[in-house]
Amino acid sequence: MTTECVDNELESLRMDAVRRYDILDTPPDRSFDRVTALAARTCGTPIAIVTIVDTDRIWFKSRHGLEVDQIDRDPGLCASAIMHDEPWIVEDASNDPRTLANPLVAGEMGVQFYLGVPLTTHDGYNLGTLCVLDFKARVATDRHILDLTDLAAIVVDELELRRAARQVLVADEQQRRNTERVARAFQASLLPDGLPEIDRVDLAARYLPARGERVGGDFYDAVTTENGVVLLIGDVAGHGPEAAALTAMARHTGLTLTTSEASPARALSGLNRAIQHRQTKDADPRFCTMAIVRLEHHGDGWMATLSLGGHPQPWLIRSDGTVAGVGEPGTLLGWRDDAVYVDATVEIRSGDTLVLYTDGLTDAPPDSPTVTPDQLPALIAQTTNDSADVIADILIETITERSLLPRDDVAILVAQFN
Amino acid sequence: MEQMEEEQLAVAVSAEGDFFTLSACGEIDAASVPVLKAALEQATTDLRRTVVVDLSGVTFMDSSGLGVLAGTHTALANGGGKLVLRGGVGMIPRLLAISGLDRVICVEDR
Repeated sequence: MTTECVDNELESLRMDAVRRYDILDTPPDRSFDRVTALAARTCGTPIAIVTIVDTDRIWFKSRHGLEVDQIDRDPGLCASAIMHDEPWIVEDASNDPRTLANPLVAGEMGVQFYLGVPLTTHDGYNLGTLCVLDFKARVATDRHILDLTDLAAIVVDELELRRAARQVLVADEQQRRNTERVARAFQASLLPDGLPEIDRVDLAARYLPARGERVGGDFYDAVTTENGVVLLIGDVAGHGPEAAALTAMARHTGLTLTTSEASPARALSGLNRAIQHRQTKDADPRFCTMAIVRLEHHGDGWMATLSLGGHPQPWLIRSDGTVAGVGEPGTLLGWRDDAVYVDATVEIRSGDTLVLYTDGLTDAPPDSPTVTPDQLPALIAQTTNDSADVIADILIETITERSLLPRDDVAILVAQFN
Repeated sequence: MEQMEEEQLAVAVSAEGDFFTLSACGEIDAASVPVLKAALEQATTDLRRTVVVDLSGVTFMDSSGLGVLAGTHTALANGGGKLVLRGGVGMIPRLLAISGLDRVICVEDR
């Protein structure tokens, strides 16, 4: 009786190769079933199998004429076939010392004929076999051996092809994850680290990304100036790296111009030109909306000067609960040479609250929750502690009532004056 | 008449000489705006055309839609053509007013 001495190191490399194809215990597959059907027909045997030899079992990827999914790794047939690079031929198993003890031969099944060709990978590992079996002794012809060898090569090609396809998928997935990670980091850089501490002004901001984790979109900022504070909020159409680049540019340029120019409207005019300059002939134009509010101390309270570039009116909630939109409409930024921006001024008193927001808060598809100005008094009346944080939370809770992220980004900047 | 469809937005394009009408139906956002863009690209192969975008079937539009309309207006105006917006219910007229589009682009009532 021949016994095989399994080289442990080689076997461990072979098993690495088996795992590489990620084939064990996968569902039946028509491509392999076609090969076994063809092998059985070509060789005239009742049984044909594509086997993969695992550490302690022989698993059948495809079986023609057999109802078993796997068998133990007993020597004599497939387990021996993969130890050799040549076809493994047993023509009369019950009289062959190599196979006498094999359960398939000695047992109920009574296999007498076995012809197995190893499934050899391109780097030389035998994963398993393509084999044909019969219950009667017979002769393996050269023709059968040749045909089976070709079919075994087809099986290996198919395995290689699937592995390559899977690698592409994995690489794509990896790429997607990397992109998302960069996008999140980028998005974080588009928003300020924190809001400034300002005497007698309570600030709070919220940002909800749209579903799908796309970078770009809404932004806000608040900075203190020599004699007051500047609040800014905006929305860049679209997502992706180009939108994100415009977002960063618009936020920083908007702030810089607001402190250097005479008024928010002048700052928006400058920003409009700056964004127009960025537009290229090859790419679709990108636009931006923005609201800029400049607050300056004025007696006991504040004087707000604000201007809008294609952006919805901020809400001014007076201490008596009345709500009014403030600011004059102005043209989308980056679009036109003849864009018009107007400054509006409004006196802010102690107890007033200013809410800057992007249109994701107020506008949504018909089935989604939004906040409208006429809802505001009731929403805010729910709480006795109407700090900026509480108001911002109420607004966010209203539009996320079904715990879904919004369709569009939402940014909110709340300033409460004491 | 050609129909371009995605789950949430459908844009039908009809042409009569140099007069193209796009009837949009559904929601225009970042995900669906390529449908509108593709239809507009088809309608603006010649920039001397008058392109009417009928928004009466649009129930939602965000800044992505506005951006495409603004860009198309500029391209047509520079090429000697014209963009006309028609209809618009619910949030649409407000959106066109906030963005200043209605002061630049011709908006027709139905």
